Order: sequence, then structure tokens, then C-alpha cells
Amino acid sequence: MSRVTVGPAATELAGEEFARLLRPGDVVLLSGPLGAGKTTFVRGLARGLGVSERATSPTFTLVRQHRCHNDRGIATLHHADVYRVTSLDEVLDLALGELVEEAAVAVVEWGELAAPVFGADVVTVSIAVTSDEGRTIDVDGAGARDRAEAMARWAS
Amino acid sequence: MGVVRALAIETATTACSIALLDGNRREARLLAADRRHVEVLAPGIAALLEDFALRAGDLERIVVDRGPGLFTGLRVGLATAFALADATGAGLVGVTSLELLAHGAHEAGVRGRLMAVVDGRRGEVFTQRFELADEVTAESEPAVERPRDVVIAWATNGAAVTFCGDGVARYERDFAAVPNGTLHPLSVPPTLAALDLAGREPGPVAPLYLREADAVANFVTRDAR
Repeated sequence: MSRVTVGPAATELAGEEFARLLRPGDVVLLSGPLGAGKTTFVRGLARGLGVSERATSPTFTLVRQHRCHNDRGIATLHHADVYRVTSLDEVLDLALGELVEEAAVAVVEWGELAAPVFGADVVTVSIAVTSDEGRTIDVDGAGARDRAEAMARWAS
Repeated sequence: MGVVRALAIETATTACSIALLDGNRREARLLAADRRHVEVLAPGIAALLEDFALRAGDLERIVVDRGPGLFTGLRVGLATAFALADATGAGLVGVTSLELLAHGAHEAGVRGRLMAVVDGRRGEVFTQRFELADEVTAESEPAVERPRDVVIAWATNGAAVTFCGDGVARYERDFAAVPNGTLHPLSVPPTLAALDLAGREPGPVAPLYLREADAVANFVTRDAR
């Protein structure tokens, strides 16, 4: 399922609308080259979950928790970035796959690098750079398949 | 075997349980069922020791479940076991959640093929196959699988098998569909079975996460992209 965006504002909106598809317990692995707009996407996603403070890249903090305000039972957004993690132990230590069971979702930038740590039920979001401003945002993963219709609406 | 006083620590599922052996006396306790390992484990051990009129320093062995299972539980159990062993000089014995289930099922009278199934969360289970006769024999290595694949494999092969573990409880409908499968209610790896293994050679214990090994290869290729 893919959605094409042009410019950061459109990528942010794609993130905001994507947030409406999320449920408590979701782990989203977000990938794309540096500068593709991963953090921009997450900023929109955070707004879509009702996070009031601004989401910044967690590159130097590994994981940030944001309190969410929405009516879908998602109380916390765990925003992680595993790019600078030097060992998988550190990713395991985050225990994100278990933390999300407590009314939360996790978005992991560069998460596909450590995908097996997160298990099979994940949603993957890959942002591809197609031109200066153009991006193709592809959503897949076993965790996404049970909401294909809503994903298709998001993509169109 | 000769071990007289041993403590068993079990935190690989949402439950937290311990057991204590002192000569002929043994007692298992479920401290919490709902993921409160960090809150209940240390006080629970202290209370159990007190009821036996023992001090931590009296322990000869600490048997700890090293996984696979609930990560946030295992690190509490392992950290506590390491600290206790370090402080008291007791020997540390690591056992797996899957073998504890097999030994528990054996103790409960199950014979024949057994599939121990621990909930791996995120749509996966940790599994290992055992043959239960006079002894408990492992017939495969611990693995991470999708429950549906386990069910299909056993349904296809048609052999009689008993399933146990919290992974079975979670995916009960799937496992109940295996034609020659029997579901055994044993869900939490039993700590009394862990006490039975206290006579094993003590040594360093490392957690068994199972997912880690798969991930290493991906991770080291990061900079090559």
C-alpha cells in the first residue's frame, strides 16, 4: 500500500492520517534514507495521536515517550531511533514490543535494522525518495494486513 | 545430587513465581500473575526464606529460568538471581522455560511427544519438542515460530502430541485444531521442576532471547547500505 507525497507538509499529513489506523500494541518500523522525512512523518503521526508537544528526532536519546490524547486507547507513543545503537542488546533492552502492550504504540526509526527483535507482528513504513520533494511511503508488514481496507483509504 | 538448600526463580511469563528447597521441605509460591515481577520478586524471596527460617546466605544453589519468554520479566529474574548469587556465593544454575515445562508435564504424568510453547508475543511463540518417557529428552532446539506454522506442521504430520505452556493458552483455538493434539493446562514453567534440576553443574548464566541471533546479521550490514 503506497502513498505519494510532495513536500514535507504532505509527508507530515500522511503521518497524521496514518496515526488513525493505529491501535494499542502496534509496533511501526520506519525506514528510509537520511533526509527522507522519517522524523517529519513521525511529527504528523504524533499529532494524529494527540501528542501536544513537538516530536523531535530521538537520535541521541534512543527513545522518547510522549503522552497521547485520543479516544482510541493509545495513551503513550514510544518514539525510538536505533540507528546509533551499537549493539542489539540495547534494542532488546528497550523492550518496546512488550511496552506497547500497556496501551501504547511504538515507532522505531531504522527499526528494520533490528527487525527480528520486534517479532513478526509489525507494521513497516518505508519512505523512498523519488525526487527532490517527492516521496513514496509504502506500508506493509504482518501487523498491517488485518486493516487493509483502511490502509487503502489512507493510500488513496 | 546432594543439594540441600536451593531457591528457584521463574519470571519468563507474566507470572512471577519462586520455590524453595530445604532438605525434604519444598514450597512453591506464585507471587503475582500479572507482570509485577520487579515489585514482588525480592520481597517474595525474603518472605519465603523467613518462613523457612533461612537466610539468603544459607542457599547453596539458585536456579533461574533464563528464557525464552517475557523479556521484561526475565531481566528482573536474572538480575535478582545474579545479585543473590554474587552476594551469597551460591552456585547459579540456568534452566530454560521450555525444559521446565517439559519436566513439569513429565511430573504431571504426560508421556510421549510434548511440544513446549511459550508466548513470544508479537505473533510468535517459542517452541521446543521433547520426548517424555522414563526421562525427559529434548528432540529439537528452542525455536521462534508463528503459532499457525506449528499447528500446520503437527496437523500435517498427524502424530499424537501434547501441547503445554502459556503460548498454548494464548493461541488455544489454533492449537485445539490439531487433530491428534492434546492441550495440557500447564501454563507457567513450574518452579518445583526447577528445584529438581538444582543438582546440575553451576556456572555462568546468560539469558536466552532467541530473537537476537537472527537480528545480528541485519545489524552489522547497516553501514554498507
